Amino acid sequence: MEIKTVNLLREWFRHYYNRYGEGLAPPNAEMREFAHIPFTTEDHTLMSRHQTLKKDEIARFLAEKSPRHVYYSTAYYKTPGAPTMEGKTWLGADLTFDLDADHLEVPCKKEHDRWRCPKCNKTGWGKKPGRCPTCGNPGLEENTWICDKCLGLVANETTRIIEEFLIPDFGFSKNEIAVNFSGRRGYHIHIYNKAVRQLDQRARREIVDYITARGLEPKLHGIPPIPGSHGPLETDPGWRGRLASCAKGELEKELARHGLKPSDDLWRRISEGYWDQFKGWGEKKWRDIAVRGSSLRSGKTDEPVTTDIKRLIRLPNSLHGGSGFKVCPVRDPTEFDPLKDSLVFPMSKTVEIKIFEHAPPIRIADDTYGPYSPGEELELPLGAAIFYLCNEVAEVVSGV
Amino acid sequence: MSTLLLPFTTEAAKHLSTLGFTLENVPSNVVELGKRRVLEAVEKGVVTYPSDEEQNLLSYAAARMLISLADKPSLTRKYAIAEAKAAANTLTKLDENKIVKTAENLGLTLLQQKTSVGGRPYPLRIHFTDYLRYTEHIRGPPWKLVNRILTNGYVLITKQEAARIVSEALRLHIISSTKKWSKNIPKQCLEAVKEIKKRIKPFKQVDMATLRGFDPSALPPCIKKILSDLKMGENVPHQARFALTSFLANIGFSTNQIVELFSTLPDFKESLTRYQVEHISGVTTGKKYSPPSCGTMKTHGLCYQPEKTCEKIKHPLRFYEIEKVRKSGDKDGKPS
Repeated sequence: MEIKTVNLLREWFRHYYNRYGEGLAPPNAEMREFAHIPFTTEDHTLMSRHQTLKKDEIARFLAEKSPRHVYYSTAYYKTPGAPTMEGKTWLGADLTFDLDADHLEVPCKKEHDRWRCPKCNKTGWGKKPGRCPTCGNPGLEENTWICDKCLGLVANETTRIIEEFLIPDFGFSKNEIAVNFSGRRGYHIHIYNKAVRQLDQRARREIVDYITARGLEPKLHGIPPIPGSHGPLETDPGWRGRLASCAKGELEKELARHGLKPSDDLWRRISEGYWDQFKGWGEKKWRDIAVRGSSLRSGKTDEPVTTDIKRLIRLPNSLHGGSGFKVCPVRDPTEFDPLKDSLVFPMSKTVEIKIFEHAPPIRIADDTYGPYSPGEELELPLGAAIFYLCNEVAEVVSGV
Repeated sequence: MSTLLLPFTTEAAKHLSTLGFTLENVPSNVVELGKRRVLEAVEKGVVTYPSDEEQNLLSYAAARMLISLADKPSLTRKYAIAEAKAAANTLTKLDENKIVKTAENLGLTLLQQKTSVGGRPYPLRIHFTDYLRYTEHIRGPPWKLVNRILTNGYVLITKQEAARIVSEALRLHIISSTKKWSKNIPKQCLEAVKEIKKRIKPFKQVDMATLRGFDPSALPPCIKKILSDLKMGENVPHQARFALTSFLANIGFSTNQIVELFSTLPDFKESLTRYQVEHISGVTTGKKYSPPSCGTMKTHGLCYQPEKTCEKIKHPLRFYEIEKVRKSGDKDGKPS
């Protein structure tokens, strides 16, 4: 990043924190570790960690530093500022989930994510391969992008995890669940509940395994059904019910394929859990259905974020230095428009920028920008310009 | 059946106090009862409740006192496992009401709500956070949360499962309650402790250094954790035993060396262990099992505090290979 760009971004971020810095304190701020990454001209910038901030110091700190990224610990510590983990004394941690376009099979990845081999300069679209197909170099660079499609998919997934797992199965109430747009590629779910605070890494892994269906054994949920016994019902709670509804769906499809309609009697018996009324499937078919069903209905969440009890996570309402968007609290992800609602910089001002990396098209607020190619000079509204600058595909030509 | 039979309940403690039982005035015959209980627990891995209820209470109280005086974590752990087993046997015979009350004594809340799923009755439920805490050491797919009926924050459990969970709570209770004894410890107590300590098998330190090329510091954290649990005399679940055995067999440990490692287990039976170790290491079958992958370790809850190298690998053996090369490079001052 050139110095002109650094200065412009730092000034506009400062402007935001001056105005909105109050109210950025997370619950129990004094027990958290804070960390930030400043704006610099260097490629790799180190994170400053082990900072402590009182509730009323956060606004001033952010305005003063105007950092590129700000994080706080999901953990509560006795001495959050201690330089070592042992010295901090862990007291508990909120339960968090991270949903990211990276963890979903999003079809648009092929359209807007690029990778490059720093050795042989080979480039390609989509998810980066393990090694460069030309020279075999494993250290490929990745340029990810966002669009309405992938953000929409992540929003749906977030809602699904809350409504299919966190509320009905885990019994969390809506007011214990806070959702934030991460500022770029996804959503964070924070659970503020005393009972889960003390859970250790293993317990949290069990929670992730539950949501992602890792280690699920269909047999233990009654699949394949044992003749003469009560098989799973759609109305059964948790995974048992989910698997039953998947099996029922498959059965409907299968019968339709053969031009058959299930008799009322068959349907009634199945809804009572007597699957052996239907004799068409062998053990393998049942198992396939369970495997497909559990992968279809599982929640796609990033495991390490939930199991790491000392994780740093973006501070809600701070700015994401890779997009310029706000880490925005969200009431309902499916109603939320991340590319509009988390925009904080005015669109009435303009900045001249010069593109130096290929930039796929993107909608910001009500207009679509790009695609742009290296070398293009453009005068863009501030909010859009900051997005390109933060993504490091453009530099400032002239300031505002 | 009375809950008095369960010697760790508040009723039992109340009853005991009416008998005027204190450390200073503990009669020798009660100390003897306690000593026998500890020795049976530690040597055979079981506790047989005396048929006389009062004797059961007294011997439990005395045993707990001796264990706490001995102040040896590996002893406490073995003793706690045996007490938990005995409690589980009794608990399964109690009705749900009593199980709930007993659980309360150990600070564990179970709710009574009769439900039936798939024709199976679930008379009790437990909050999932408690479930995760108290089943941490109970492994196997049927106990994995994803294979349970979880609804509205609660895991449905059968009476047998409740008994197992409560007994696990007892085990943790015994392990975590430490009492500091000041002075005035009667002579007969000190002597009993001395005898117990003399009779317990010391942990046979397997000389890992004798194995050429073996570098214990290069072991992955999951395997290190199983080894340290073994050393502590913790009850190590079946999958962990398999993982450790197959891992060590694959890096060149002999059957003898592996069998010795298991000799600290509360339920150690040499011939059986030898047979199983030989089977896994391919001595009997010619087919050496490879240790479980990282994914399988995670599924069984055996992945423990993953390190940086863990991010790059999918198999614990790979971790060992990488770290061994890196560490030997460190020693020689070569770049890693």
